[in-house]
Amino acid sequence: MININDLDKVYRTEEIETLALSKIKLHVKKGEFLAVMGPSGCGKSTLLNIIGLLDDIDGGSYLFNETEVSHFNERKRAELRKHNIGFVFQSFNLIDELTVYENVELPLIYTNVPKAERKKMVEAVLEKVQIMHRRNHFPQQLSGGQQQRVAVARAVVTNPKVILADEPTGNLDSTNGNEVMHMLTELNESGTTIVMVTHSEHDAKFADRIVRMLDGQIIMQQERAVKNVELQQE
Amino acid sequence: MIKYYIRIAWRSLLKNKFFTLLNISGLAVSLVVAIFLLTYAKEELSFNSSFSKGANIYRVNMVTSESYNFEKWTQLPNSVGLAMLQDIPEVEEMSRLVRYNFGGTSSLRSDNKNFLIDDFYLVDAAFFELFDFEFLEGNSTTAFERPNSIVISESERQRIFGDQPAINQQITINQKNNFTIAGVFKDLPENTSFEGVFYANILDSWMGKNVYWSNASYETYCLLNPNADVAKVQKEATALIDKYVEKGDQYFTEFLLQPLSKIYLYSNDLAHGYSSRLGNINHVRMFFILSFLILGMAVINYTNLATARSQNNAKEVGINKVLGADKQQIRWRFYIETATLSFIAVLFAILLSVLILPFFNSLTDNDFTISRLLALNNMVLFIGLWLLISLVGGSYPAFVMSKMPAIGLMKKWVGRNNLSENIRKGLVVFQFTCSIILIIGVIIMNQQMQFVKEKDLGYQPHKVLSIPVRGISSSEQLNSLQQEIRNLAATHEVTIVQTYPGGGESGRTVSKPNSSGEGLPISSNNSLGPVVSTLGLHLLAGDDLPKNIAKGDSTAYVLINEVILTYLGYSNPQAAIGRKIPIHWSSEAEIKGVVRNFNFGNLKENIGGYLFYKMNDAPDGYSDLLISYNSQNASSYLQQVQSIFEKIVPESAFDYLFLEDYLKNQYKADDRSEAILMVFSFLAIFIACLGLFGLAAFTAEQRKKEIGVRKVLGASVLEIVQLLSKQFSVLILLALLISIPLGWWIFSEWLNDFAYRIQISWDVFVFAAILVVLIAAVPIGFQSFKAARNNPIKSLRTE
Repeated sequence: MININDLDKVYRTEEIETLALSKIKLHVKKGEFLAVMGPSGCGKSTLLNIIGLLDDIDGGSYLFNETEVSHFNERKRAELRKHNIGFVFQSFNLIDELTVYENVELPLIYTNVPKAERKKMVEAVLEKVQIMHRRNHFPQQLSGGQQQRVAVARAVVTNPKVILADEPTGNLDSTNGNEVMHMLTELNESGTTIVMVTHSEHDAKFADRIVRMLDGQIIMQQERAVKNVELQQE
Repeated sequence: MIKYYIRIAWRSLLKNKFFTLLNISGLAVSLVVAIFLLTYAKEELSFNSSFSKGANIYRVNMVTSESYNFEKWTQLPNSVGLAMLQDIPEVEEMSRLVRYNFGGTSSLRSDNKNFLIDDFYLVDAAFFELFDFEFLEGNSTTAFERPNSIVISESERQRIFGDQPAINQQITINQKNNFTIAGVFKDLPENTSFEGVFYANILDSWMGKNVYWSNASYETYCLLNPNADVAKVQKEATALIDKYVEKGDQYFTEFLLQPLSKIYLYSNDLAHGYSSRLGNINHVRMFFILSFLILGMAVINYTNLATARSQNNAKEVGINKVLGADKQQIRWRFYIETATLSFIAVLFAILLSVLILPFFNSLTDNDFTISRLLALNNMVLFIGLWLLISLVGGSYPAFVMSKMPAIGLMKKWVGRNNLSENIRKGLVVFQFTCSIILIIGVIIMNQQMQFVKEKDLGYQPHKVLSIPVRGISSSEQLNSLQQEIRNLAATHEVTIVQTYPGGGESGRTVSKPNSSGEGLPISSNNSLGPVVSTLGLHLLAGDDLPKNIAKGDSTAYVLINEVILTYLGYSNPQAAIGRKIPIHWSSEAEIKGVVRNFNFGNLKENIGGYLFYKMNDAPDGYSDLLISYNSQNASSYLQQVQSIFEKIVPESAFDYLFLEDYLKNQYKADDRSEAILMVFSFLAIFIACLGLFGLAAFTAEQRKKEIGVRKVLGASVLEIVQLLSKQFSVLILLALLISIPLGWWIFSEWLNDFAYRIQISWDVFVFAAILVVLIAAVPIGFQSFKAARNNPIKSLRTE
């Protein structure tokens, strides 16, 4: 699904160059749940942005679904993104001016789904994340956990192949955090590939594989054969 | 998609009430200004457009010879039109237009009642064919069939005959000329150059029967063949001068054809036009520029606040991008937001313009109605302006934001870029530069008009009353009228003249003794009595005009001004007294006195040669009785004069003019421009301040954390206010540096129009600078103080 080889990313200001990512090699299989961990500033969010086609690379290659995408222009990237990738952010990133329903509907508008169909799809996903009763509320009127459920709903409403989650539980208490993790697990079980950046060892245990980063490099990869049974019981 | 963007825009406007209010009020005010001024300008441009043959109608003007300084005149000898009609095949029709008796108020008597009439013209019968007069009684083709026919306007019929038909009624003008009413025409619209309400046949009068190439008092209108080459006709007309006029009598050198549509706005360099309705294309241009300037300032505010606020929008735009919005869609989002906001502003503007319509009418001396203001074409204008604002105002945020990467937007990296900050600063400087120039303009215009009004005119128009006496034909009546008025305690002096100064002198020439040909063009005024004491002229040498002249004495006794004295070459006023000079309207003239130059017209013009004369059998008649008085109560004095007049001349209508009022009227257009400019400047500053207010609020918001940290570290409120005000103060200072030389240059040019003008002094700029700094200090100070007073813990916590 995702094949990254020798990827470099450099941030330049007028005076200094910072190597944010260096010679990254990463392969994510279809249907895999991958967690990326590491201390602040290690480059994990940058990597996630690159995977999500939100940022350029300065070297190496990036194949998405076996297509080289590193040279894609803005329009092509947007096209690929809106049909294949869903995002979940730490700070939810819902649009304040739109209701729950409208926030979830937005990606479908950009993919030109007809109105009647949009309605069905939005309602189905709102039911699934159990936020239907709040469909006409604005984000500010919801709790953090509810907001993140809406964000997940928005990420999955287009049935993307990949979901990229950047610290999805970072702003949530443990109950709400667990709820979100269960939702992601369910999605993964139904075949969606998930790449999640996290600080939380607890959350990382939900993943099939953990990649650890330090100073812009991948320093360790841990495979897990069987999902953690204790976690399921929690 | 559009629906979605409108929804987002609407909710975001509601959320940011402060900025929405700032923007809407700025845009609405500027739209009101634009709509009024554009309507006004459009009205000015539509003058004389209602005539169906208008496109082929031209007024013939002429260029005078060197001795008349190559002036351009609208009035020609009455033979020009006839010769053109006869000799130039492209000229299909022609009509001359001349004021009855060359001008002045006449007295009309009908059914034992007296009426004053002002706008009485003599025309050729073709006049009604050239211009579309709609006849309510009689008809245009037979109007002048019978001799001494006259046609009158609908409103004059109402005034004189009430609701009765007027056709075939008899009227007497000035107690001697009888006319039969042959038609009543519907009043012409206000936006035509023809003010006549009485028209009689020029061929019934000596003014049309005698055909000559000398007296230039006739406006001439020609209808040309639609295929005519205007330049060729003009050449052929000019060629008529050599054909018909002796070389020595040629005081004009060229005929010019002026299209009817240009008469109203492009006649400021033409002398002697009959129409008092005179516009100025420069004013129209000024209104266009000013309205777009003010609109521009409001759009700048919008753009400035929008880019400043883009940090707040950034997250939302970023999310949209992440979810798949392309550049085009992001641009649409901003255009729609701008369009939504400006649409609300348009609605407010319509409401506001209806409310302030009466004020606008009094400011511009207009009578716009609500229905005219809200007419379809104005609605189209509103929609046009709306789209323009949306396009211009939305473009900058649209293009900047659509280019930003999604990540940058979501992390709010926008707004920290130097370019947009510099553009913002540049726009603020631009706004304030315009505002300061407008303030400088208002001050200078005000000073100049004050100077003009208070300048020593060389005579005393104060407390001089002019009474038209043209309608009095008996000299007994005239004498007893003078005598009785002189007997009033408050009367200082009384004299009968051809005209009050500036009202309608004869254009003549004065030559040096023993010289041939060349002469000095002057204004001459036939006077019966003591003009020096009546008008308060400064006598430099000699005496007033003599009280009596012996019968059979053919000498013209003259009072000359300094311009003529200098021309004649006398070393001092005394040297001229008793000298004989040649004038062409009398065998001989003797200089009785010399008066200091006096200003009888507009101070925009230089003083010309002026001469009062008195002689037996003068070629000019008498129109006005001038009375100087010293009563404090002008209205009761006027009543006394009126009752004497009505007792002695019951068959004539009473009218009067205070010379002071006449002079004030000379500056009416300038006064109006000054008032409009003042209102404009106020609005421009208001809009600029709205922008500054918003930007200061934004800066305070942006620097909230910094302010918090500084306060925690011990900064006082005053220090914080200074910190925040500093950056705006620099901008205002920069605006001052640009606007002062620019304002000086622009208004020096404007002053060049005046022959007598003030020197621009430095205190104008100091005053403008202080005013602007004080005005700008209010929004900046308010916002800075508000920010400085905030609890630092609160601002740090939000960060």
